[in-house]
Amino acid sequence: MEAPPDRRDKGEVTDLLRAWSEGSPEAFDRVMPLVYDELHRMAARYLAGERANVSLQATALVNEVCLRLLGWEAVRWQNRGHFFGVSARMMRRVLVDIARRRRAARRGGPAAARVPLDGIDPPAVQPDPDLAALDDALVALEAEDARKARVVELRFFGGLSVEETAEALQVSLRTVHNDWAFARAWLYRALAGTAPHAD
Amino acid sequence: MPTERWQRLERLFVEAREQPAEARDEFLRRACGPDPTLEHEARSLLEAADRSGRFLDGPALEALARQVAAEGLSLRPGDRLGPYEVQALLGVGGMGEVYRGRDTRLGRDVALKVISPGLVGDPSLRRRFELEARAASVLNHPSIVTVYDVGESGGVSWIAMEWVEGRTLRQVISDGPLPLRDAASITRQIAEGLAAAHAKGVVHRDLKPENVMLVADGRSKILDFGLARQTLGEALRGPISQVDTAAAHPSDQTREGTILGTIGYMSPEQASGRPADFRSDQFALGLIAYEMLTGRRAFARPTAVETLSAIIREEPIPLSSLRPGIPEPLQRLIATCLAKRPEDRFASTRELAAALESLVTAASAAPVASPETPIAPPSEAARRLRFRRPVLVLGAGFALALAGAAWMRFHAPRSAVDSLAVLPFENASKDPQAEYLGDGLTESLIDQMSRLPSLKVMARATVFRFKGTADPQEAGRRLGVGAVLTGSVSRHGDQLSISAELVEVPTGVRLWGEKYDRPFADLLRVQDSIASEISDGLRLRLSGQEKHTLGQHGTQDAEAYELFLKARFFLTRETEEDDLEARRLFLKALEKDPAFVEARLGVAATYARSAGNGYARPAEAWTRAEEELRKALDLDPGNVLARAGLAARRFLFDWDWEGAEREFRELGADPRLLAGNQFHPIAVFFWARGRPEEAVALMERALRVDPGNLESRIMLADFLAQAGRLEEAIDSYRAIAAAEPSDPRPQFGLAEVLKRRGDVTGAIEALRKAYELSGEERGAKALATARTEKDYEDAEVEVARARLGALEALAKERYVSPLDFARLHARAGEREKAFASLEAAFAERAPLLIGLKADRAWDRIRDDARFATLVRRVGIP
Repeated sequence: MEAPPDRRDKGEVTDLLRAWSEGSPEAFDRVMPLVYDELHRMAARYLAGERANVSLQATALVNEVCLRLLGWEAVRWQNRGHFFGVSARMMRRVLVDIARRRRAARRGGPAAARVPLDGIDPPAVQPDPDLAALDDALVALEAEDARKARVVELRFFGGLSVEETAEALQVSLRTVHNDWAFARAWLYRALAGTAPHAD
Repeated sequence: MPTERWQRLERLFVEAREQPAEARDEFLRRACGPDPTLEHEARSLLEAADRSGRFLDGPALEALARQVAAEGLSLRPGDRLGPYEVQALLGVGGMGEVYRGRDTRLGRDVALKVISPGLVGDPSLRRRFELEARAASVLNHPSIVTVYDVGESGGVSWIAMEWVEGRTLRQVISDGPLPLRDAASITRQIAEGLAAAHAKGVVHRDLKPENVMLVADGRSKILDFGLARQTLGEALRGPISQVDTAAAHPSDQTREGTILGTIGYMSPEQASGRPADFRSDQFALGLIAYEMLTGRRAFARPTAVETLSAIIREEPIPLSSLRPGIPEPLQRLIATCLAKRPEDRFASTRELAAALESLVTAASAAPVASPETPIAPPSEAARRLRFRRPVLVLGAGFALALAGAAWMRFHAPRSAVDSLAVLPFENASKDPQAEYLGDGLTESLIDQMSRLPSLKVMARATVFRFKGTADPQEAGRRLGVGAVLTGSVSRHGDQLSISAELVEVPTGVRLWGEKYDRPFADLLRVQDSIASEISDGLRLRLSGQEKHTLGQHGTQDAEAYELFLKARFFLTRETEEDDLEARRLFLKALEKDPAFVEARLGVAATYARSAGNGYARPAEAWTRAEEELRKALDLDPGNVLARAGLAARRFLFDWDWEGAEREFRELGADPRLLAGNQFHPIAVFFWARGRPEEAVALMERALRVDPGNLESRIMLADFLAQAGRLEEAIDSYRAIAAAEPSDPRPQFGLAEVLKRRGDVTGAIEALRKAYELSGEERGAKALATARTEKDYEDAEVEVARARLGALEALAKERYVSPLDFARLHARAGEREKAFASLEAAFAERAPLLIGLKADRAWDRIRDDARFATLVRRVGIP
């Protein structure tokens, strides 16, 4: 990370990207607090009854932090899709880590009274998936069909649109649509625990 | 690769979904043929797809945020955390919640930050949070929100801190750029808070407008000290290190993304992932100042990456092109804060604060030329006056501990131009640390020119209000002088560059001008040339003796002289640390040149000052002061400043009233005693003896030479009050208060006078204001509903008691004059304790004992027989 970004050659960046997608602790360390902050600010806005249009910002930020850590000058010339892939993976790792921590805290921590405050109850929401369980299911999906797992990673964790996802994976829009629909159903079923794995 | 079976399943799924709903069953049966498992599989997936609704709809981050929100908050009103009762939720921040709470023991409001257990499972992280909060709790500074307490109850970690009402700087900036004076004074206050924290090794690391609160009276307070994350990486390992108080002001957050917000105030080193240190706070302060002045961020870019890149690589748009009229020194100072390399910023934040202090003092003393509404805060000096030491003693009267003469003779003018203002020389180099050079040169020239009896030279405090002025002629007109000298100075390594210009005020004619480029070692010679050429320019005919006087310097050693100039720079500041720094530098100058008389006088002045302000034991301080003064006299027999210093000691420490008066008379009308605060000890002398009319005459005379001297103006009002000229005193106090709306001193004076005149309502209001301005919130609150004289007195007693508590705490750390205790005990009506402390003060000859007769602080115990005895023992005639 110490070399000036513009002096990095392509090979080096590719190595970095690989190291990252394989879980460089440094990158993780940089991204985590940013996400963490944003997460709780968003939660606060939910509590306050606001639905601010900021959700994508954190994702964009993760992209940018990744860019910075990699040396954005160099990355500009790299495969954009590859890059989005790395940062979506980063987001996934960070968010899942937070979810696991929270789960551990709920189990092991003192029984805290969590009473929604009068008047500002959180808005009714569709039950959201437990990200830790989702991650487990995603690992299983990956074993069956790596591309579908990537689509989920890019769209759900990376916040990418269908078009961007298609570009990142170098596949057609139709493929992304189909993969997404299938993976969503498959994961939903897996989390609902209603059916055995297809095999 | 997916298995073949999986691919079949996928095709089935996609195709079935393309069928109309009623045809789907039929399609599946046909397509699967004799494979019921596959059919079942496909059906269950299709059902899942139908049921999944908004599953995975929207980014993961949002989903997680909804879960966090759904868990609700940790506390509700009425819950208790230690001694605190939760009252209302203020906001939800990054790591928890902020509540308004109440300390049930002390009955005061607090802000409670709570780390909710759901967010923080790891106990080691919680411990760290507590450690950080405890580190912050050692900070005690008016510009820092005080952390009272840290604790944990029922799995909830919390911090109790000072309750501050006001707006965040973010909110204020969002209304547009701030008036120059406000921006400068807020910057200065933040710098002072930072300096105090940095001195204790606590770095903020996340300073931004959201973390600065502006209180109603114009004071600024930094929030979340030490609670900021260490570095991004470290923060990860301890992600609860911050509870965001800014969340208590949710409206801030809708304006723009908070993450971008934080990134916008990072220093280059933070942006490139290196650790932050105190200089990163300086950088953030530079950014904040820039934004206050221009209303825009120095490095605002559409995306975080571009912003970070700009922070690391780009220079901001120069301030001057965004807003004209920002004084050059302030621009340079901000540029230094914004230096890319930490080592190019200020070596200590104390230095930064000192530089700002001089700028703000210059700006806030400036004549009311600008239509801007000042919210200028009380100066450090004013703040320290919470104790309401008589202004005469605290005032810089001790700066050089000099006496002047009430018997000054003014020579009749005999030349075309008989009065001069040396306007502060501008620091033309990029280095704000060279500020002392311009200031020092200015002061030296003032000193030098003041030695000419035929010339009236405006004193320092008066001319420094015009620092950075764009129109010297106008300044001259306001000062009522015949000519002004302006100039600039810069130093590049060993090269010195000085330019100077003498302008006749009524006509605007340039009488003389010169530019000097010389080695630094020639500084003194250049200064002499300027002085003698000014006198030529003014067509002053100098006698041989006068020429000699003009050319006199205490040293020929350029290095010693430079140290001296630096030291003097610190001596004009107010705090004890500044005095100590000045002393250190004076002593260093003496190491270079032991025969440097002015440096000896400087050392003496620092000792006299610490005795006068109650920072040091009088015997020790005066002994050291006298040693230096005597050495100065050995080197330069008859030195008028040294003699005046000894005379001051004579009545302040030796209580030799007759001897002091004799000395003062003998010293006569040396013009060097004319300027600045050098009259003050004599005025104090008259005040202490109960001869206010003489003190008034003296101050009126002093103000003719130095009309902008705030200390002198306050003293004059005090003396008028003492003389029973109540209406005039009231007018004076009101005029000062109008010009210095944030200085509590005129309000204190006003309160006393109004009360004496029987205007209880007015007195209560003035005292309430005085308390408010000096940060005495309890007193101010008590007076808000007060109506009677008794209420007034009760409030005084209450405040005195509170102050006593603070003083006791301080006394555990360092020497506190027993006289300070005695005054507060007297004010609180605690007779026995007051006399006990007075005895102790007597034993060490505390300088303020000379005020036993005149100082109204003693009124509550004045009727005691012991008091009369004490007055006799001090020998006050």
